[in-house]
Amino acid sequence: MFLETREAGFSYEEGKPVFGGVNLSLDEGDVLCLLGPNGAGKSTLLQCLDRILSLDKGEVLLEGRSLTSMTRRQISREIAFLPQFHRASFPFRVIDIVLMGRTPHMDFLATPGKKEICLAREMLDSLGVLHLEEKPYTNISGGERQLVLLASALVQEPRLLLLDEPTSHLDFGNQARFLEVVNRLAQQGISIVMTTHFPDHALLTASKVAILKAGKVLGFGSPHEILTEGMIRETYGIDVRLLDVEATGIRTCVPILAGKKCHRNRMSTGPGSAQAGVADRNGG
Amino acid sequence: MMKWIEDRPFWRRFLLFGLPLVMFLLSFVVGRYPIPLSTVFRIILSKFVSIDHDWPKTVEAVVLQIRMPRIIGAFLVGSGLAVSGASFQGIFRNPLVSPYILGVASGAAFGASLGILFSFGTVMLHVAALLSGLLAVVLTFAVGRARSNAPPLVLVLSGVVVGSFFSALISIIKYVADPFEKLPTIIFWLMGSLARVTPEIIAVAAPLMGLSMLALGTMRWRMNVLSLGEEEALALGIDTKKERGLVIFLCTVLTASAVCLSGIIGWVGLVIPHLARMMVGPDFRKLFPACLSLGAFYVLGIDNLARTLSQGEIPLGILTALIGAPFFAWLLTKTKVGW
Repeated sequence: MFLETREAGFSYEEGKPVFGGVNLSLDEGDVLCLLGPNGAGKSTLLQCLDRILSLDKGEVLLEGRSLTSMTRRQISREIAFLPQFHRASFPFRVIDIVLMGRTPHMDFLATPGKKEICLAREMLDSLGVLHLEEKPYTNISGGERQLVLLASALVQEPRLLLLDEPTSHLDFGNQARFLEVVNRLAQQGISIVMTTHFPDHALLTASKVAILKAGKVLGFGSPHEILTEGMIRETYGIDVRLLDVEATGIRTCVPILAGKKCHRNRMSTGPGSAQAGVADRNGG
Repeated sequence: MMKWIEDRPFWRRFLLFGLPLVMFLLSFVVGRYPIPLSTVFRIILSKFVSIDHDWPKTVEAVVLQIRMPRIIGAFLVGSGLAVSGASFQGIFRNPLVSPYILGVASGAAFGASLGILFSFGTVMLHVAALLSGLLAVVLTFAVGRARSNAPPLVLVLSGVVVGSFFSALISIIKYVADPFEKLPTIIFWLMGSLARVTPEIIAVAAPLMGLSMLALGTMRWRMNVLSLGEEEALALGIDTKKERGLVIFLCTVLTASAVCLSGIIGWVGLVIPHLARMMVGPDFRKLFPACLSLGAFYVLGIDNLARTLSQGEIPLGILTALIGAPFFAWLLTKTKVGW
């Protein structure tokens, strides 16, 4: 096992655990998606996986080694973390933000040199945002910023990448593009743990899915095994249908809204659209 | 105006590093007793090689005993306050904090007032100011760190609390002080001045402040990462508690020493970092040298005015704000500020 949590538990205040008894594991190149309602403890769990917060029960093992036995610097050479909101402070240039990702590999008093700058520019280039390098990163779009921050996390050369709702501020196209990058990184052997609010995103990327609700793991396993209509209903308290999109092998999850009228007659159902209709649910 | 500077690297470099040098030389010349630059050079040179002494003894005393320490003092105070202001703004991720935010100024002012009240000698007065300035920061830490998970902003808040407590203590001292002799001295001290700087005080303060600035300077890249925020810095392998503590310690030494040298000079530590950021951006690799030179230039220039504008000394703290505020207000209306 590359990463493992054993009976992990965390609380900000005594007696009020955010989560507890969490047992998860993943191999190299796995994408683990953490799903769960707001306030379930997903982000907190993610922060514990990077020891930004320290567990008060159980342990996190990286290749069998407890995170608590490692220094911050050692951890940061293995694990990179992309926070949910980066509250921009000062208008650093994009290239400087990426260079900061190199810090774990630099000496205490060193400043980045030619080698680091080269690496940072290559990373920006591979994510298609090299043209932004001289811009203040406070002045670029949300989608661009997410890619820049990802570049910063990747020059860290992590073996484990933690992404906290990385797609939540992106438009539809940028979400898809970001998920493509996630899949590409996983193919390169980087393990990824990602929280998301969209079961679809898990279905598109995950090799493993864990569902967290009220601090407990409701289910952990392969996406098709865990993400059932019943489980999603139990997690979010809404009715959903899972549909297999013909000829793509992709499964998608559609919420069934109460009181929504059916407009099937006006919709064209061309090839490639969903196999199963959703109209029959709408009457009730 | 800032755009104009950004597009002209030569002029930016000249403004940043040429002007302080010009001001440095000018400071020896101007004053109630104007001395030609050539004489200044020869007096300084005569300390290293033997030259014919063709100048009066008083001139030499003015240059070496009065102006020299005062100029070095202005350099130290200006660059020290500007650098620690920039560092505090960075680690607290807040462009509104000044180096006095953790209570150093009020603490040091309390020590000095107490010293004046009990008629301490010059050296003891400075020691008292330094110690009580440090005490105020320690108290701020004790209050701010009572909750282990408290965010850095809590530290700023407890700094405000400790600061106002010490301000109240100062008021008590003013209230009980002899209104004809002690009270004016206290008030003048609080307004800030470089007139009391002596070679002995410089000999203590210069190494202390020089080393602190050097240490902060070598941490310039870590400062960039720290200014990203707590989680981000932790994820990049920075032990934020330790390193932020180290930065605060160095800044406290700088600020407390500056207050010892000159009393409380507001404005420099808040505004020079902004000015520097407008010129070179937020990257500490460039921000540090810019703050160093702009801060020195500003305080030196203001101090020259303070000692030449009128017969008596005008308190420095008044002039820094009186001249700085309109200039900065003008800049704000003319420039798009990027933070």
